[in-house]
Amino acid sequence: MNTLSATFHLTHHCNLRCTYCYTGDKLPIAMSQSTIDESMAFLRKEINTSQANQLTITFFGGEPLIEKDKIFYIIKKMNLWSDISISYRMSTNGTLLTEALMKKLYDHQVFVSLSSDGCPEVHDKHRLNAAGQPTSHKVAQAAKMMLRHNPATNVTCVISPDTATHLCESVDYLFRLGFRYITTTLDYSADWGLEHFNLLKKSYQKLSKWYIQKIEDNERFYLSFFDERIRSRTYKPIEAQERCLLGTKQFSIAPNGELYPCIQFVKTDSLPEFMIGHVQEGFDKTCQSHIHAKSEKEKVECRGCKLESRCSKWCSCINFMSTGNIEKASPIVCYNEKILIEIVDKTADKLWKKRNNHFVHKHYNEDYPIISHFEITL
Amino acid sequence: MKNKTLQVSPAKKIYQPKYPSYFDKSPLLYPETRPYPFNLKFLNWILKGSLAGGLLLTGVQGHAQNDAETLSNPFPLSRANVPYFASSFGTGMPERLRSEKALQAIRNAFEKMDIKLDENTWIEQGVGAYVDGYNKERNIGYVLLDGRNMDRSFISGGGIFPSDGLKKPKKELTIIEQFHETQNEIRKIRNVTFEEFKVDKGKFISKTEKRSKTDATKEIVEDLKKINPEHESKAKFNENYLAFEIQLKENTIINSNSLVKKLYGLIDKQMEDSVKKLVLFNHLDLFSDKKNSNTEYFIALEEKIESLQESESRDEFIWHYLNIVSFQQFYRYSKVNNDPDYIALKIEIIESYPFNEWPLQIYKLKRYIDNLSISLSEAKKIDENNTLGRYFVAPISFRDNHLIVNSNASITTDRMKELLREQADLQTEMSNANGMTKDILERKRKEYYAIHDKYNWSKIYNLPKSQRDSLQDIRKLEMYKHSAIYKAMEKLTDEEKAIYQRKLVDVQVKIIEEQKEVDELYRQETMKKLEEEVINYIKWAQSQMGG
Repeated sequence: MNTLSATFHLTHHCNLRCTYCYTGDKLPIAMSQSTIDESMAFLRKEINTSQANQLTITFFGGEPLIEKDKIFYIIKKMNLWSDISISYRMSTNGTLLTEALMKKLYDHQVFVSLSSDGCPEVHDKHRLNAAGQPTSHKVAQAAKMMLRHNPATNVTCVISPDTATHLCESVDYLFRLGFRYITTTLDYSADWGLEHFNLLKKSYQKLSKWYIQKIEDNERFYLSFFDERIRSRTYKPIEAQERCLLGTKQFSIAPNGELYPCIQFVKTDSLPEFMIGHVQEGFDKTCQSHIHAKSEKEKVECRGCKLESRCSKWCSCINFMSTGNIEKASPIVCYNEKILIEIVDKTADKLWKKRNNHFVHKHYNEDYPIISHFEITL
Repeated sequence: MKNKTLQVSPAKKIYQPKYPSYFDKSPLLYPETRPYPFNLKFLNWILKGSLAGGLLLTGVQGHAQNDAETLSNPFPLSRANVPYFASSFGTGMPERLRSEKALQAIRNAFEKMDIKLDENTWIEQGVGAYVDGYNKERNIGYVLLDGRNMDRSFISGGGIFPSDGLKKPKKELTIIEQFHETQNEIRKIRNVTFEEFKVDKGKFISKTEKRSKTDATKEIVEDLKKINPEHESKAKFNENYLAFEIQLKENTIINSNSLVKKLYGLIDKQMEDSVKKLVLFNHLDLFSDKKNSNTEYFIALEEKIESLQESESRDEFIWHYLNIVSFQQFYRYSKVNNDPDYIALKIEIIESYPFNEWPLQIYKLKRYIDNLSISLSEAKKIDENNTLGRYFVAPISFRDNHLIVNSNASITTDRMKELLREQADLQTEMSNANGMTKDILERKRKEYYAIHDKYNWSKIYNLPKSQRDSLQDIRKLEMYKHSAIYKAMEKLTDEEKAIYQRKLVDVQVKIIEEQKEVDELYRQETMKKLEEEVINYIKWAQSQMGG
């Protein structure tokens, strides 16, 4: 399978003002009709050049639903490309979703992912609207709407230093809302200190009990923090060629047509040092290979680390967010992985000791992701 | 760049996990590894005859497991959410099915599975309690743990309120010790009151006058006025003070029931010591609430009280009276007082035993209540017996998440859809009539946010205060202008708008009314789901029994 992944940043605008948002000012700068057409022409050319047979299109922002008509325009045009299989994704804050819109997205086979930080008191700490008002109520309504259309909807939950203690409650809240695919991530741009990691450790321990209980209850779910780390032991570590291939097979298109290696580099103010081309001219191969080489450079500070093969120090975007430099490993990742991997391994050991049948299949049966997805959506 | 305090450092010593890695033999190849544990939802789908599902089942895995391997107990105690923190007010608490609805759903499930249950059946095996339904032959049943039968061990930290039954003061005191203790308290209060009287007689008299204005109390206050605030007058003051307090009690008796009046008369007649009299009067409130007392019980008690007069001494009178008080206090607020069998037992004690034997007879009431209620340890035992297969009694707690009424389910009525449509149409009609078309409103919204963004706090908070304030003023002005521009574009007069508003309110009232119907549907849906889970429990139990 030769896959190409492109993210359309349809606008810099957003109706929320999440405190940890890295993209800069929320200005009503949207991708123009001509840029959209140029982007599609560029993509068509790239597909032909790379002989890709699979295309993943992600709609991102700002908040992509502010420019919802453009989403359907792109889909309508791209669906005419009969020689390639295309899957559509979208990440939204959920506050602009309506039942009719959700139905339309579902009918157009757009896999919509929701951003929610969990229980209302946690969510409302950071995810406020432009008027500074809480949004959890609206997001919970959107969640239910989304899950009705697709029970396998993914939710992304950001953990900040001041919400670290509530991680387990937030995951449980999202699970109770009906989410079975829960992606958790840290706010890598925040000022994490040792005290926060001590709190986070306690939360992980609590989450460990939650995870065991859910496995024992034969529940189907995906919890990225735990499942990905178990996977890093039960399946072989992610090889360099399996990763996101920064800026080569995966890239982001900014509203003005600039090309970037990943979503994290698309900001209201351009970042020329990370720009890898423009839809009008195509990729700048020199920039592309320069950034790729930088990201692949050995992290000397990690030399001799026994967790090196299991940790995500290779993610240039995280490194950039955390250190401002894609070559330097993130200390936040370092602290987090050291704490988390041990707790996750102990969790897995407990389930393995009991020879829990569900655990065995979840982590060793290659068909599990497909079957469990089927069970969830049934 | 942030995170200056943290540094990357290689992990030199790490925890060595035991679960197989990708280097090891796959656990799927172990002979003891069972096939894929398809969930119940999936199996039910297969059982409904889905060809595609059947193909998937056989294609992927070769064969499905039998129910015993895949079904699980949906009601383990670990998921019953007990013990729980009792909350005295329910803000934010989800609605749960009321007991009668939950019982109805559970009974339906057993009926559907063709299992006849005997109600209120006694079970043993380390438990000793009545369960709501049980079939001895098929070894299966259920108990709903709720306010009817859960004892206080289910409440984390013992709850907010003190335990029912005999109220325990700070120290463990017998009823007689409590009596003496209260006498001492009254004496202490009386001494303190005399000191107040001495310090400021005028203030004391005025305060006392305000407490009651009957002829009798006015007379006592007049006597108090004549007393000099000196140590020598203490005895006289005490006499008046107690007379006043007793008079206050008497004032309340006038509107009391016949039982209270009878007891008051007996105490008044038997007791000479005013302090003792006052202490005994203090318990009269216990008998005043006739509403909560069963009539037959009330009559039996009133008749029995006649024999208080036969007490041979004042001390014996006090002892008998205090026994009646204890008896009356026992589990006074419990719902068990609505149980006819419990009341019959109480009446039997009243009628068959002299007062001095009542403390001993209370054990019968305790035993009765103990049999009625289930403790947390008994619930654990029921759960354990489930696991060990001694019997299968589902301990379903009212705290169980299955009983939470999910008000967000996609359930509604046709009428509600119609009303919501009507509301939306009215709003659109009003906006259009007002000249506020969708496009104009969209433009208004965009402009509003543009102004808001322009002066966003995050952009200006670093500026000097004076500059910030002036920007805020400009923002207010721009907002005002923006609002005025669109206001001027409106076509409807205030009167015309009011007509629309009234129509909207009418629809909204109907929506609120219809919501009750929708809420009932939510409850029905929750009942249906609970019923399904109980059926799953029965299937699981039957699979455990090899059925």
